[in-house]
Amino acid sequence: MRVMFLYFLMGIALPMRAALADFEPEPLGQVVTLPTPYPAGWLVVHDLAFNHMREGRFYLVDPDAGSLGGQMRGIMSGDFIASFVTSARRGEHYVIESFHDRGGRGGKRTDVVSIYDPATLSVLGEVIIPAKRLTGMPNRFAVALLGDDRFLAVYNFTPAQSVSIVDLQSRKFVGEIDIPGCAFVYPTGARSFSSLCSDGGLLITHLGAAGTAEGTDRLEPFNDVIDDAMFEKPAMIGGVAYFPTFTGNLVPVNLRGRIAEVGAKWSLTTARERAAGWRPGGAWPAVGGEDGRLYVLMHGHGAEGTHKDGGDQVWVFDAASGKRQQIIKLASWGIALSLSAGKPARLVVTGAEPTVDIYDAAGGHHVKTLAISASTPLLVHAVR
Amino acid sequence: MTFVGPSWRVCRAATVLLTGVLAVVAAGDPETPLMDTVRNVDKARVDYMLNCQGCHLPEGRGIPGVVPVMKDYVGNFLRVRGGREFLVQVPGSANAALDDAALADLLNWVLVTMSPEQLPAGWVPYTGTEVSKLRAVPLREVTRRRAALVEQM
Amino acid sequence: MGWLDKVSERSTRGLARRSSRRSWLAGMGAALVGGGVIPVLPVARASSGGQPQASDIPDSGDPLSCDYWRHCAIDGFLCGCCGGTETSCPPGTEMSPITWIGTCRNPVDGKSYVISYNDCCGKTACGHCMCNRNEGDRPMYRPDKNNDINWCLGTKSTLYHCSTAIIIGLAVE
Ligand code: HEC
Repeated sequence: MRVMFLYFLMGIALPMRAALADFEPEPLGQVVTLPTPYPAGWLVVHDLAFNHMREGRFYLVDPDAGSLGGQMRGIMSGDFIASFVTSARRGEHYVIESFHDRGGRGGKRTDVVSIYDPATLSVLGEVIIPAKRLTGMPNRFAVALLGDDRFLAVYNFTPAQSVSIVDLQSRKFVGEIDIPGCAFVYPTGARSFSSLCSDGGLLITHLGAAGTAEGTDRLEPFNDVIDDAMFEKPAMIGGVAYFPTFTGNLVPVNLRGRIAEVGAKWSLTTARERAAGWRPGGAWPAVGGEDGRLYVLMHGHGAEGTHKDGGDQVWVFDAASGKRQQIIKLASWGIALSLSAGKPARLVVTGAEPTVDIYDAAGGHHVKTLAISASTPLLVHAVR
Repeated sequence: MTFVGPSWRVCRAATVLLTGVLAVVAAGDPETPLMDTVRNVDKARVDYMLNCQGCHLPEGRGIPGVVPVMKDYVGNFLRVRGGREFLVQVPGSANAALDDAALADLLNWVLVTMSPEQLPAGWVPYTGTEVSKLRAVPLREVTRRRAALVEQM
Repeated sequence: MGWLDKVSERSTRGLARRSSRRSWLAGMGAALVGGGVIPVLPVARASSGGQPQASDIPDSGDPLSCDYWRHCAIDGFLCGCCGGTETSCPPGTEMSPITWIGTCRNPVDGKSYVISYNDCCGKTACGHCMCNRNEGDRPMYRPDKNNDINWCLGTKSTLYHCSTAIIIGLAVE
């Protein structure tokens, strides 16, 4: 019996053992690591998930890839209409989000700056800030990096208005600064930020080396907040914020120096276009490239109340001269504009369908619609 | 619209009724009828609704710790030095989309309807000219300024 | 131009309206609002004379429709589609005391009414009847006139559920 069993093993089992030894199983527990810095042109698409906003997401996307598998490179979560900002200098992404400790039925709210490793998309650390951050439709300037990305500023609205400062080096909350009657944080100079005030003026708050407030300056009202309000959503080109206005003007504000400077207001439209109701609009109506090109999302038949409608055309201007260079007719209705940092640059149009459409920024032709399915994509961020 | 009203002192001396285009300013003591202090009560009420009530709630009820309670309180600011200026310079007032005369009227309406008991005797209603001067100097810092005023009360 | 013309013009005018964010958000699984407008004929309610009461206001339109007149600057889910009504919150939610207040023109009597857009809070988003209209809306640095803000402030929870549109007065011209 025993011998027979041995023969049996030698005759049949031995070759099988050899095959098993040769077989290389797939390793368990593998997790993808991303190449950093990312290839130029990658994007972070914010899906605010409006219908279930406690579960917003930030999709890291390679728009040049052909299929969904190639385009979708990873996901970060963003609870309750989060904000996103990335620092190439620090090599970190920041998601500023709010958690309710009883989930869908509320409970205590904790506001957190979640610090992500761009290579692993895992959380390296977090800083708890006062549970006061503005929650509402996303705005690129609800948060800002200041002082060579040493500090993160977060705009608060309770409805009292203030800014929370976080020291990213020590990963500590520094303190809160009142900005009475003013909103948002537009990085200004080396370590200051500007805020738009409800009287049409501008408040500039200067931070000291430790991130505490070290004085303010004010600009007299220049924004016609009643009849021709500036959108709070400017295009940034070389440190100048280009604010479109509701009726179709453009107000450049130079934020390079310690004190912001307001430039001359000019019209985006001719008298004829204005009469036809051509106006800027959308959830993010304008973006700018470092080449000085200013892209503005435009709709016809504009009137009181159409300022968030978006548009079916993108008008391209030379920001410095105000000369219109091009009109891009969109493949489908757009809601918000973004621009990639890739070469060639891509104009990213969040569409009403909802879609995220990629256009060639120079030629204006529609390159593709991203394969990702986001329920309510809105702002798209260029990342490195 | 410019408002040329009596100076505060004249006001304090006697109830002065200015009839004509720009209505009535009266010396306010808490007993003075609403109409004598507020030129256009209906407009002031609606101006309050459209510009302030969203945050301050009906009757200035506020929410302690979130939005200051004006009901049975805001009049106290007229009893302390700097309080009169503060009520105009606080951003909700100073930056409101209302002209100077309308803001003066609104603030007077707020004081007499929400906090009549706290008003000092012989208090003087705001005028458009006064409001115009004060609102041109915005507050840099509210939280600490308010705390300092409340401490004096 | 009568209000009926205006409404039907708006619903047929094309992309500018159909593609506004209300349908952009509404198209994502929620009931589509403001698609085909079926105007309800004005039904004037008895007016008691004297000081106008909210219940006396001649009304018309469908409160579950984005095109209903008092939604002229609303942004969010209509509470009537979430178990509440245009003036009351759904069961188990809390009405935010803090909000913003604007005006809308009532097409029946041509008067402008003061509308308080109080949000209902404390439960996850309703997800039905997304509606966004922006007449009189101004940027977020004018919070007294802005509908992009989550107005669940001063409530036990800041979770946004849906929005009401409550008539609190008659605007003076
Ligand atoms: C967006 C919300 C908001 C609006 C709208 C608003 N306020 Fe306020 N108000 C506040 C807050 C918050 C404070 C507390 C100080 C601060 O942080 O600005 C305040 C403080 C005040 C104070 C000081 C009271 C105290 O006890 O400190 C006065 C007076 C005042 N507001 C008047 C007004 C008037 C008048 C209007 C309308 C023209 C108005 N506010 C509109 C939010 C608002």
